[in-house]
Amino acid sequence: MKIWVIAEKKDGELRRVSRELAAKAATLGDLEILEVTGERVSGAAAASALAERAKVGAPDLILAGATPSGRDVAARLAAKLKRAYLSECTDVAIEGGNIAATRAMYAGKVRARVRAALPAVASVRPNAFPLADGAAEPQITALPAAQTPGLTFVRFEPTASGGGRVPLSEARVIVSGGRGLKGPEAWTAVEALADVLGAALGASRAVTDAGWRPNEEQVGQTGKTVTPDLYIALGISGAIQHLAGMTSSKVIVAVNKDPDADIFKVADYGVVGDVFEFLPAFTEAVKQMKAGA
Amino acid sequence: MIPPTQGFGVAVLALVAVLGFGAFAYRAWKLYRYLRLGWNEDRTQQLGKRLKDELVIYLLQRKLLKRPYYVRGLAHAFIFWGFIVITLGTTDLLLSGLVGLRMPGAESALFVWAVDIFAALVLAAIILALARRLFFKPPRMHIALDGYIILGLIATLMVSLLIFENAGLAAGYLAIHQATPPLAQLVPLAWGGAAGTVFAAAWWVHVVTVLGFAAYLPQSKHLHIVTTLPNVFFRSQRPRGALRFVDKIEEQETFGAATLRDLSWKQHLDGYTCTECGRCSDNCPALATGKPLDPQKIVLDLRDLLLKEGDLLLKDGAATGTPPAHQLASKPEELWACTTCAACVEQCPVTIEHIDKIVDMRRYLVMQEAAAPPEAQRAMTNIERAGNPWGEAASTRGDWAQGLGVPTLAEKPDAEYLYFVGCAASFDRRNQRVAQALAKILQAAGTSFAILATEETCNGDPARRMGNEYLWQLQAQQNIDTFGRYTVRKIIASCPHCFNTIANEYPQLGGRYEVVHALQLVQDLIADRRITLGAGPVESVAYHDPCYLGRHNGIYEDPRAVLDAIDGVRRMEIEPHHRERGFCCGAGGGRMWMEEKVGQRVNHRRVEQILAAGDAKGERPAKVASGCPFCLIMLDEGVGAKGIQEELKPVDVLELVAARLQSEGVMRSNSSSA
Amino acid sequence: MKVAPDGTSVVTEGITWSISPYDEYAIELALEHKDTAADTVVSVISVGGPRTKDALRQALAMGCDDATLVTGDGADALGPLGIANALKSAVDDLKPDLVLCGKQASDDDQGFVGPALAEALGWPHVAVVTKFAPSASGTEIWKEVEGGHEVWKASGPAVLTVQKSAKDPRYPSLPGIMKAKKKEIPERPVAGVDDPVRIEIVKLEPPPGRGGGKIFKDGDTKAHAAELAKLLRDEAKVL
Repeated sequence: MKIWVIAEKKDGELRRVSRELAAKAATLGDLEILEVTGERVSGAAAASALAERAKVGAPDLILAGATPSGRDVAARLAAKLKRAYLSECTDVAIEGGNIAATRAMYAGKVRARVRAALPAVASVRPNAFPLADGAAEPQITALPAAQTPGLTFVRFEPTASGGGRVPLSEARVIVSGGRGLKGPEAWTAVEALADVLGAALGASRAVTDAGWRPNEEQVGQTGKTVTPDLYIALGISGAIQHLAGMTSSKVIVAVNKDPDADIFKVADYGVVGDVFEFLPAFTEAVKQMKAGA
Repeated sequence: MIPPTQGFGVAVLALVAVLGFGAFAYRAWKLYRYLRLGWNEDRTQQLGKRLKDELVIYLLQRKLLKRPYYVRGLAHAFIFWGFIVITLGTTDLLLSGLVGLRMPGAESALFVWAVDIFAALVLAAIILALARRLFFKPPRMHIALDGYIILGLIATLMVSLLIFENAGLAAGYLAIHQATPPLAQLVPLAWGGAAGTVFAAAWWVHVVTVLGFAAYLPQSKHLHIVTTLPNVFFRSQRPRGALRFVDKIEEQETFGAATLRDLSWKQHLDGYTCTECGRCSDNCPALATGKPLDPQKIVLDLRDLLLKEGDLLLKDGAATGTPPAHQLASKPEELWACTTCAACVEQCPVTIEHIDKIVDMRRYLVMQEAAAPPEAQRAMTNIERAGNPWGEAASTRGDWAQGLGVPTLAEKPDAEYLYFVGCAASFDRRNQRVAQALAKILQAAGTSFAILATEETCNGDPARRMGNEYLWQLQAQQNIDTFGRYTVRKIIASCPHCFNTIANEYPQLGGRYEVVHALQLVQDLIADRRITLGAGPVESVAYHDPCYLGRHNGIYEDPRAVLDAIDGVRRMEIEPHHRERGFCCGAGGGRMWMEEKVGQRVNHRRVEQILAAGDAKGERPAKVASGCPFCLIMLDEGVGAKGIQEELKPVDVLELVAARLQSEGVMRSNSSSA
Repeated sequence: MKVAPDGTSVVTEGITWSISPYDEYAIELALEHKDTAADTVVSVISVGGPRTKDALRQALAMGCDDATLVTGDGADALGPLGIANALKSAVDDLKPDLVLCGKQASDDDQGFVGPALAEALGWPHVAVVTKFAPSASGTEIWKEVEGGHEVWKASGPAVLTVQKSAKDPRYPSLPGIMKAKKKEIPERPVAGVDDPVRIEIVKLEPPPGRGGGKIFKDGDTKAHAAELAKLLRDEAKVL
């Protein structure tokens, strides 16, 4: 089995998801990691370069991280090769001459096991596979790409709000606060936790209405819908309008002093107790874990 | 009495009469033609009821005599009744002056006394009114020159009447008949030889003022004394909670009201009839909390536009286009702020229909222009696609009843009652507990009932209030078809909005059922001893009247009776804003699904009123109970925002009942925490 | 969403079919452009059985100028490349300057058809688009990326897969809905379209139910906090 992993780099380093895929691919067959090089390469251009290489290399399975650019390239590549493309898989296996994958369908409401004939292309969600322990820096083949005819890069326009935290809609971890935090002062502790976790900040409607936090942080039916891997709800009761914005989170952690709070009905983990006792203790525990790990 | 119209007098009188009545007729005719620019709405149904309303509302001034305006209302009533009598007297004067005839009965003591006494009463009322406007100006009153002119004219009329009677007596001109005016002679003024002249002068002043008044009338808001007569007669006889039906909606070319021609003649008549008293604005929850909506302004803007553009539209008879000049002036933010609570309609003494105008203009915005606020449109899209404004999965509609042993109509088609649960109790977690409470009560009483579960869909009320008549008809028809399949005859609703639209509006599409609100049924169950309520702790519970139960449907007593039947509950009234003067929770009119960005939140104001009412009595209530899921949601948000959720707990009356049920029935699992 | 008894499809009874949300954004983006440039013609196309016509009528009601349906036996069962090829046949007829589609469909959530259509047409494509601006020298296209937007320029025709429009997709007015009901929707045959790829659904399951989670109740909150951190790292693997 020849498995290709289309690698992506961030700030010169191989992205975590690419390393996860490399580790997985190595268990499925012979691994080759390719990186399309060049400044501002469009999805179509990258796909062209890869398709050319594939004519020679004949991979059985091509994996890409399900990042926006990974999905872009993978889809176009599959179309060029006239092969199946399975997007945002959470698990991948090879069964006979087929790829078998698990992925979400119907706007995430249903989990599907799907199958397609090899050779095939798939994009895979981050956190789907573990990293190889003590893995050496893998060898990456660089693949220069030509520009797409008819499409040129013009400029980059940064978002006004600038840097700092990850935008809510993309965040993998969100720390969210509700009325149970009693006032805006509590957010010093909330931000401390978010910093340690590299998380985005969310808030309930009550909190943004009261002016404790800006509207952009509101998660819920009239705010943002988020799909993080980890959603920590602090002092949030779990009104249906808030739940509508975050139930697609992979893991929900709830902290509230009311044991009957509706949020506990959807939480995977929860602590009934004083949020102000929880926060510093939890932040400290995570800090130590990250330092030790 | 010998009128001073000898010689040229008659001719002069005739001329003045022609001028006066002529001016009146000319202007009145013009106003009539403007009115006819509106479309031809049929208001001839139920003639008997119309006559009754005329008697009670117009003649007996019933709608004026409401607290807190009772005394002022009485003053006006006397001016009104006085005016009727005096008009008869004036007719007599003119007849005698022009053709030397007397009105039959004009010489009787009864008539003479009546005229005299009422003249004095009216004068007293006018002086009070003037003093109030000049020295104790009420904040809401829209005082204009017009008002002073009218008061001045009426004062002149009364004074001149009393003077010419007084002088006439002294001059002997009144000796011709037996009856002498009692009050006029109370003040023995020494006219001396001038009595005759004074008599003549006062008489002429009186008659000319009357004719001048007639000419002035159609130029001022005082026209209401004439237009209130037809305005009350032609008032809507629909149930108050029912909006106007649009027949054959798919064949319409335009929707809603955007121009003067899109309003009906009756809506234009409303404009003429507004007395600018401001009682509607005084009671509007939107205006009270700083929103741009002012019900009086909505009415007057339409009137002013008609008066301004009427001539242009009459000339431009064939034009079907809409030059901007004819575009209605009310801005979207005014229209969207309305919760359709009907406080304005309740208070208006001359039966103006504010809500219909606002909804008609909303209909234009929503159906013609698709220009509703985005959150409102999302709610409508959700109703269309998921059968509920929250967009919750329709397949989970019956989940609230899991494990409670509540049959669906499919399982029990011969059930006596259909419990129409509604979207709120089906999907909103807090309100699911209320549905569960009702189920528990009905089971304890042994009532035969079933629910539709996933066969139920939104009754369409929010869509209709927001102006989406089309979507409402689609939704209503869906439910009516389902009801028909199961030959549903009796329906229980725990939500006043469900109750209102099914009872009062579904008949417009042919759906006629016996509909009761849950609290009406529960009151019957208690009275018939089908359920018994056990003892419980003493607690003070304030009752909040939901607008669609109270003002819209007149159901004030049953919920209170139910509360009173619960041992230990000390019912507290939220005075003065209770019953017909209840203050809206803010969710009606589709506003539940719209953002509230201006002024104070209506529900926060309501919570403040509840606390203030408690403070006035020296004890704040521990709970506030209502009979509506939206009131519950809004009150919950209100107490939460104020951080007093432990001190004042919003509940539904049904929850209080369910918690006290004494029955042999198996205790079902539900987490009622009332 | 309920999985059907056969385990490989979803229950479709009682579901209202509507345009997929990202496609709605694409239509809205096109119509927003039409609002500013009145000579723009917005055509909407789709592939599928008769039920797809409802979606096309919705698009017409929103303000699209015309609609075409590629249909016939097997239209609903086409694989992704078959759909792309079927759409290509309609695009060839209409000769648009730009093709917009949603970044992914809300049934299969794939995001394959857009790039596949671009490939079939031999056009460049830009994904995750939020804005575009045609000019004499080409079309400027805004692509959403981490931290901002990349602006690309297409000198000729291109396929854009749309993430979001500036405003929420417009609610059709009632006159729009009525007009759309009466409009003619021409059909193109789907027969003979090249359909080389098959993706088979082996099994469908509802996502694991929420709730029934590990809730720490009595005892020392601080100790619970520490324990929770460990669980999140070792058991849930999210830290």
